[in-house]
Amino acid sequence: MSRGDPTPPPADLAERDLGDRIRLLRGAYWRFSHRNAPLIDWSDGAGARFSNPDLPCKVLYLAPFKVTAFWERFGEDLRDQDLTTRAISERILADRVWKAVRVKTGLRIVDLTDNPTLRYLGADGATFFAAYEFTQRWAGALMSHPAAIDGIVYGSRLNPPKKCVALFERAHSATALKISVRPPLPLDDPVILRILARERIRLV
Amino acid sequence: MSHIPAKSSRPLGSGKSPGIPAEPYERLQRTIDAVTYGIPSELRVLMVAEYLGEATQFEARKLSTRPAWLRTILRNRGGALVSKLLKDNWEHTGNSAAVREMFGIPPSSLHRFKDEGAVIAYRLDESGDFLFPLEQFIPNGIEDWAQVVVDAVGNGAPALHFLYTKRTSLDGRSFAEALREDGGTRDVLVKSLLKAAQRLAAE
Repeated sequence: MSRGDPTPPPADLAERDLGDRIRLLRGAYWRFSHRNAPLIDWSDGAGARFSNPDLPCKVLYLAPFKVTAFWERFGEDLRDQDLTTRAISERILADRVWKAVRVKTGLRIVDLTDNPTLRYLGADGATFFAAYEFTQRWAGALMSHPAAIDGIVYGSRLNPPKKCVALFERAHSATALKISVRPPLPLDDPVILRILARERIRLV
Repeated sequence: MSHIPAKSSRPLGSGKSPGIPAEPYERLQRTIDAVTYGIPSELRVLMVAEYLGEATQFEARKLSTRPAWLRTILRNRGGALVSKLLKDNWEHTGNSAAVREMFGIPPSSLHRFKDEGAVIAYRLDESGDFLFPLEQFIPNGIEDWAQVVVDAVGNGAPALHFLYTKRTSLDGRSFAEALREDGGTRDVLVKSLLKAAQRLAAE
């Protein structure tokens, strides 16, 4: 492995005691969901950073701010578009709803934005921004760790330096979460409309 | 006595600004004089200018929280953008007669495909002909990706934008341009197009 190469999880990760590295996650988060998706829409799609059909747990991606949730969902496509012709489909936004996710009881998570934790795991600041092949391997290793953590906090790639949360589906996950669909709809939401206006993204 | 910074050589409040009566200016001037009484004259104009800047920003922020107003602006910008993209790609679009002539698809079948969402179509205005991007056609048929795009983003303007917006991942070309140029790598390109559309539609 050369300097700067993506770091795979170390072979002894399962033997590293995560006890001191585990934090309790509580509070309110947002999810920008498809309106037809189940209320708790766990994902195992391979197109996301920490999920894959072959991994032991499905994942629920959350963001503490609507702005981050928007960019994490649509940032990849908008970044690919020429700056002078950026637009988003009204239909796509109309198909979405805001879900408020409240973590009622503390969920045990590892914060992958914390430098001592990264060093303890054998990772670095770039590890969890690497190609999905690597980040998904890390997700699998963390899901399978004997500490049975409930998820991770990680840095947003599309709206840095904000943080995001990936919860792993465990037997008790559903009872720890209170999820509700919240108004306004995205096309009526000043937060979304202001993002579009500020970044010169048109509605088509 | 301080004065509101003038934008022209004509004295403000002279009553000669077209459409703006003198009286509000005079009242504003009196208010400023009263409020800035005792403040060194060299600071007055600066302070008033700063206050007016903040007040303008506050009003702009209030305005920007009105969703209907912002939405209209964004839609108008979107409409203008799609018109431009259409103009840039005009020679690669055709109406139903052109599609029949070039690809052998009868207009009745084409309109049925349109109603089923299997073909990308755009109508310039309520009464006008539908226009069809020609990249989606093969002899006597339609490429499968057209329906994926329509399902993902919606037909009309969004589908047209998806096809015509230039993309970093395509070295600054649009999907339509790349489809026209890359005969040899068409399969790879279509995979990339499908991935982009499906990513947008994913739950």
